[in-house]
Order: sequence, then structure tokens, then C-alpha cells
Amino acid sequence: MAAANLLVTSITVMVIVLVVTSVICLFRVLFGPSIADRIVGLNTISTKVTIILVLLAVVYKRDVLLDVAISFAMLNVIGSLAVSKYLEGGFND
Amino acid sequence: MIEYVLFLGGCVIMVLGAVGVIRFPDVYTRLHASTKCDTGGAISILAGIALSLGLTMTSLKILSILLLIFLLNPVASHALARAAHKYGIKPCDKTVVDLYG
Repeated sequence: MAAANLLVTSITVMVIVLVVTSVICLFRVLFGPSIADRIVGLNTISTKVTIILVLLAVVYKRDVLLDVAISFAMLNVIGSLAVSKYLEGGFND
Repeated sequence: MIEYVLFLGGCVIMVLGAVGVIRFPDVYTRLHASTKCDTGGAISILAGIALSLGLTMTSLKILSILLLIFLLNPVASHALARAAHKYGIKPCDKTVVDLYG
């Protein structure tokens, strides 16, 4: 019982740390000088949100959230690749 | 006990990565900070969670998410750095060598 409480407490602390660091990275999304800076911030925030989904799935014992986390991780990479190919100037070369 | 060490290490790496994203001067160094710290922290935290759960179906799914982040996050980062260089974003003034262009 004490071990489960310690796990839940540490997961709570980790979720708080991840949310605070996401808000810090949101500064780079809002005030980034170029568009690549904004994509860097969005990529970081998306990875953190994936980990938050996994942690909440473990705490609330909902395995559906793990599938959501898998598809969210894939969509994060697909979105970053699409924006970078757009910045390069398309699929021509 | 080792999973709490992994949790602590992951949180420290995450905080250091966020500080790097805020403080570094240009997009390439920000990409350096964000990608390495993000991937390392994610792997550390997810491995700790999978260790604390034991060998179940949930921990197998968590390990698959770990593998996915470990493989795909550097790919996106590399494509973004290449795109930023081709788009014409210059490195900062303290850059010593720029071999790609």
C-alpha cells in the first residue's frame, strides 16, 4: 500500500514538472523569432504531452490512453516532417 | 528502488532541456537542447514506469511507446535542422565552423 502511494505521489510530481516545463517551452512557441523555433517548441511540448498521457493512463488504470499516446507520438513526427518539407520547398529535389 | 532514480533523472533532464530551449541563442542550439534532453528524459521516465509495473501488457505498450520516441524523435529533429538550413536561417555569431553550407 505504501509502495503504491509512493508511486502515485511521484507520478503526480512528474506530471507537475512536465506541465511547468511545457509552459516554459510555450514561450518559445509564442515569441520565437523564426518559424523553425516555433516548430522546435511544439515538438518538445508534444513529446511531453505523450509522457503525461502515459503517466495518467498508469494512475487511472485506463489502457485506452496508451493507444492515444502511441498515435499522438506518430502524429507529432508526421507533423514535424510535413512542416520541414514545406520549409525546404516541397518534394521536388 | 531504481525506478525512482530514473524518475528523478528524467525530471532533471526535462528541466535542463526547457532551460536550454529558452536560453540558447539560435535555432540549431535550441534543437540540440530540446531533442537530446526530450528523448533522454522520455526514455528515462518511461523505462522507470515500465520497471515499476513489472511484465504486463501495459508495460509492453509503454515499452513500444519508448521505442517509438527513441526512433522517431531524432528523425524529426534532423529533418527540421536540414530544413532550417535550407530555408536560410543563419547560425549565431559565435559559430566556429559551418560544414553544411
